[in-house]
Amino acid sequence: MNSPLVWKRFAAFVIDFLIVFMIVYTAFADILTPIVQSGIDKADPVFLYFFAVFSLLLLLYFVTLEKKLGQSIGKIFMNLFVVGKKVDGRSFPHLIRGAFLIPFFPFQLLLILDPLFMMFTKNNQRLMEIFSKTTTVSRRAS
Amino acid sequence: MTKKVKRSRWVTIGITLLVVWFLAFVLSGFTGVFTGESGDGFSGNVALIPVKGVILGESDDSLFGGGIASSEEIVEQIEKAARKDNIKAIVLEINSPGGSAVASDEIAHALKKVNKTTVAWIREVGASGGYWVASASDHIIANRMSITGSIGVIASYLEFSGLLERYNVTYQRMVAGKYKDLGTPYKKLTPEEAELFQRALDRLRDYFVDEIVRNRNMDEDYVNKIATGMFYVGDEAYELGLVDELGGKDEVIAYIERQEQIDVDFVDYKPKKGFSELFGGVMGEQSFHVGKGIGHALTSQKPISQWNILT
Repeated sequence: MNSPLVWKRFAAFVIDFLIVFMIVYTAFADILTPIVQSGIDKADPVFLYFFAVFSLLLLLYFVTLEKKLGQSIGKIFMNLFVVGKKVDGRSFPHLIRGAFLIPFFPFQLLLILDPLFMMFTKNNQRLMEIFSKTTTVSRRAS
Repeated sequence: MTKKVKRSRWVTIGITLLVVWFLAFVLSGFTGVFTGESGDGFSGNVALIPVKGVILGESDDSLFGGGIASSEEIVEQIEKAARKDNIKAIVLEINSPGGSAVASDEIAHALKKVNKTTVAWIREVGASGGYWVASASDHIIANRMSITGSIGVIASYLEFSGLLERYNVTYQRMVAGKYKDLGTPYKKLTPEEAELFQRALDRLRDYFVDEIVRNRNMDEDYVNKIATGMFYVGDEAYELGLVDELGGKDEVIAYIERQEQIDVDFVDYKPKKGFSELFGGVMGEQSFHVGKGIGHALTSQKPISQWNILT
């Protein structure tokens, strides 16, 4: 097992982000399109609600796929795997991994803290990966 | 990886994406519930803002409360509509007998700041403060039978000194500042107090008249002559120059289409209480009544801040 390059992990996340964003935006298109066209007011409650729903559904996406397959779609493309002790068949470790996506305080702080930890850990582990005892690798041990 | 495992993997991915898509559609339907905003509040090109009930500063937060047109909320809707590029005109749908002078002025002031076509559409009643608000618009349309006008100020109240005397109840006057209890219902107004009170009301009326003169571009002497507090039926108001057109929704649409060269598509701009606000309002009101007691609410003397001085 070896630690994947940070750019690969970032690219995998971007792919997953875009896939889920397109799906969720489609559902909200009728409501959001007029707001986008007339200019987004940052405090607009509809926009904030969309962001909250999108974050939670992205979390659901990661928890479900990483629990069932050990990979999300982005990780499949980048040949990355989520491994760890006692994670098979359990949702909780994957929920911890994705805690930075929870759109409420104090979890929002993880948006900065979580990736920052990657610079200081040996295997480029995020903070929540340490807590969930998981790691992202570029080859799964057989 | 075997073909079967690969297929199974993509089936899992497909089902997950389907679940995400389904949940997104379901949750998008609840947008209005959680945000307290109208789900279709962002399409349309003419904002329709209701001004219904007595015009006061703050809203009634109770679950089934109504009958109050909160200037705070209406101003917010006007400002929101003014900011949206897709909104070309604002229509105030007025059905109000009036209310607080300050609250009416706040709405009128916000309406005058709008750099778009504004129309006041008076339904059954647009009197007193309701007319004050209407006068700030570019164009007033009322039904021939609408009740409007009533340009004046009222602060009448029931005075119980006779009743108290009859039942041998004494009003114990304890004040520091000789006019502190001016207007208390428990004693008669002295001639001096009556004159002071009247002077304040006259001053408010003068402000009201000034607003009509400015907003409607009318002669001050003329407005003073018709500002007797008398209400006028729609067609009378039209003859007096207080309204611009007699009609209803069709006339509102026709006016805006002429002014803006658009096909009018109304969108409701009204504050909707989200679930959390409704729930909080109910709990808050229950707590208030348990803590304070209905008896205290009935017997406490009203401070000046609770006088009903209304336009």
